Amino acid sequence: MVSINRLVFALVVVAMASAVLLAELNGITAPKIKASQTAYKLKAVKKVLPPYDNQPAADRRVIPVTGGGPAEAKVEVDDELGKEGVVVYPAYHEGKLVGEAYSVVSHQGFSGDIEILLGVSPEGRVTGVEIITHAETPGLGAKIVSETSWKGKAEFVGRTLSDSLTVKKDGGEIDAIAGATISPRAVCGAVKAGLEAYNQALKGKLPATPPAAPTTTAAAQGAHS
Amino acid sequence: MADEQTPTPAPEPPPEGASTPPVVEGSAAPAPPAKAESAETAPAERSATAKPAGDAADKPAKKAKPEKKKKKKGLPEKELVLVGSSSPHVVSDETIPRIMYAVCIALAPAILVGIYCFGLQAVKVLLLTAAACIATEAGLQRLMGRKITVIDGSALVTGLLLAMTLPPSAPWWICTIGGMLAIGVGKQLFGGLAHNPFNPALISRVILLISWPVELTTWMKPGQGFANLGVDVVTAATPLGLMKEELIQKGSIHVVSQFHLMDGLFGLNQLGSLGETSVIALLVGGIFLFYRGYITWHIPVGYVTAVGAVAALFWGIDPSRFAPPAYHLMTGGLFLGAIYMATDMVTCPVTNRGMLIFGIGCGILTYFIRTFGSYPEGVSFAIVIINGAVPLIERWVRPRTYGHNLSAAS
Amino acid sequence: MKLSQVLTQGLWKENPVLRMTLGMCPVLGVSTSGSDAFGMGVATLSVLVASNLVVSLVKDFIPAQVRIPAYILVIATLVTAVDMSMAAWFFELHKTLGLFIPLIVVNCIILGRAEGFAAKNSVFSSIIDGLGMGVGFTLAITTLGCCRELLGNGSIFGLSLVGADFKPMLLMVLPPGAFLMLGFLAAGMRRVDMTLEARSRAAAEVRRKRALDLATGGAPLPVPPGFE
Repeated sequence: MVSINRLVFALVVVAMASAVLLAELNGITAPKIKASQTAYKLKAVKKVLPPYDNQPAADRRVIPVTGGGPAEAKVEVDDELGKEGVVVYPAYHEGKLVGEAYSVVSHQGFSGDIEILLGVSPEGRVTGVEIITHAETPGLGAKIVSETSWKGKAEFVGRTLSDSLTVKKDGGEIDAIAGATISPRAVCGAVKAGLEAYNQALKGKLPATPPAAPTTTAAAQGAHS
Repeated sequence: MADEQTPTPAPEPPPEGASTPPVVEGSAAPAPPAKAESAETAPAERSATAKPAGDAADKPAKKAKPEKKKKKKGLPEKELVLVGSSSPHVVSDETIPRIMYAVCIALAPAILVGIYCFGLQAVKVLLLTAAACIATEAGLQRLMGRKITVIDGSALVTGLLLAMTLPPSAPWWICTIGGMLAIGVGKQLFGGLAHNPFNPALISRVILLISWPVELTTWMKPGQGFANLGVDVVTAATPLGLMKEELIQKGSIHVVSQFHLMDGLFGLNQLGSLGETSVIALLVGGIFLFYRGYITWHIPVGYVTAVGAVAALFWGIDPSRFAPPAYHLMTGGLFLGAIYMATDMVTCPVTNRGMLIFGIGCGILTYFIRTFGSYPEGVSFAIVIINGAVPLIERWVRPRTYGHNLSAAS
Repeated sequence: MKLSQVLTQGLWKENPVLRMTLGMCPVLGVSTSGSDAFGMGVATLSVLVASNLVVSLVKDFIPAQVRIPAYILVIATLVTAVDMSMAAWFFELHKTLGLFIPLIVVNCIILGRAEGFAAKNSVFSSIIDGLGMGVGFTLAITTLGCCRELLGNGSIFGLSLVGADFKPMLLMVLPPGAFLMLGFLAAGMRRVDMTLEARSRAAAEVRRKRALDLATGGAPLPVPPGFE
């Protein structure tokens, strides 16, 4: 019979070794993970915004918005800026604000929420839509993610709140997906809610010219370059 | 895992040494017949445990059942086979082909209405699906070295039933793949006739519906001429589809008020699957089957009543969001499912009480899938799900053996 | 056991997925496409090799009474390490596999090989075993993923192989398709085995006949008493 001390000793040694190893590895990977996350987000941001010459991730602002309803501008906590609200990524071109991108969540997906990134120009026109997360049926509702499988995704560009923002099946102008009406409809709802949030809360909240001395973190810069 | 076992070789072919073979051969020879016999007894044992002799004698209504179960084993008359099975032994001149072709006759009115409404498109779907089922059955039985029994008509019935649940304008490949799935996955994969736990036609329909939702939910309007094979048919939504659409979009339903009861009853002006539209035609066939004793009233009545009752309950709570019972009864595949699918002898319980529970379960589930599920129609899903619960139902309603008290029996 | 046997038994004869049906959760969960399945396979493979290595290293230090918690601790550490590394270097794949990466901890293959092999064998053969089992797992799940992707999406590893007229069978990329396809693959494997077995038996029979003929000159073998 092995004494209890021996058992405890063995487990403690294994646990300590694990802790040390993981702590070391965390030190190595944490900045990389952060950078990957930012780069991932930026990839979508770049797609929905017009050409820009600033760093949207570094220039981002958190604007408090009251949401609610079947679709709403996504309110999140930005750890780095220490604020809660809609995270808006601005795009400046030659010193002028040309667009801003922010996440909108629709709760009307076929299975679970659909989060889209919406790009809007200062006059309230859609500059692009990207699907960030969704749990739609593969091969059916999941077709919303790319233009090749859903033409409707590109059809939002240039529209404003006063334009038709519903799928053809509901009498609108946006292409639907055969067999999956709910998912495109949810995206339409999200775009609409996003534009409404823009008009009500976001418009004019960003500085019209790029911030002179961007307060950036090394990670965000590294990711963008 | 158990690592010590790995070095020992798995059962290898007999060693090559010349001394042992006679023994091996001697012991191997009787094995196949023994196996065959145990396979034959299995279904009989199943029905016997669920229905002890004493009880069957009490209730005359049940007599029909064991006869059918026995004949399901498909023993050809002139072949001498020794079968060990437990009582009750009932002699009857019912055979599988007789039952199957009677079902075909019963389906005829609904099929004729389908052909009248949807023309050559419907003929195409019927022929293709039935042919695919029969060909798959024959092909697989040949592949597995079994006796080819397509002549018994069970594959034909599966094919017709499947065709009747498909949209009348289903493309040719849906019909062929559907037939292959019904017999391949739904029936032969489980061991052939009487071994399948789920209704083969419905398994196939469910797979088709999940796999190709667009093709399976495109419904042609009836009355577009008979010779409409190469023509682009006009399509629209079914009553249940319309209702679901409206409910999701507006939160209330209005289509119900535009629905005519007569459309549902006669089905001449109704959208839907090939054979589900005419309630009257389905009832005529159902009465024929009932008269011949191939189905009892328990499942159809339990099923339809349950749908009606749950629908009435919800309709009473909020008529603006839930359709009235008549709407639920007269639309969709309710009667096709209740009379011909749920009553499938192989996949439903054997006791009357069990069948009643089975029917009511199907009905409740159908209503809930129709109203709260993501598909507009729930009959096929409901029956397949309750099929899976049949062993549990049988356990629950197992009749008491004469002379035993209840607690000992259960 | 010979090292070559240790390496190959996981590939076919004791394939963790298709023979031992271990670790079904990731197998069924992330085999919707060939590349996802391959990523999952490689992640499991690396954890398996590393855990076999560590467990066989520390096996003499760990008392038998606490070996299971100790092994789980080791495995959890390794899985967390793989999880973090994937998030850092293969972010998109990590995003797709999501929850299934941390779930490698409870994959039965890992603890099974640690307990069943690494705890009793040398470091080197434990690595070989982890490699064989891991590659077997990866092959099986990738095959499953490719089959499902081909039928359910018309592509393999994201490469479209079929024309626009092909109507993918959606069921195959949904959960029921995983079960169906796994069953078909296991049955196919069994079929191959049966064919091979029948062939080798026939060959053995021919050899036996020939040997008999040689020994008796073609005369029938005398029947031993009791077998008339």
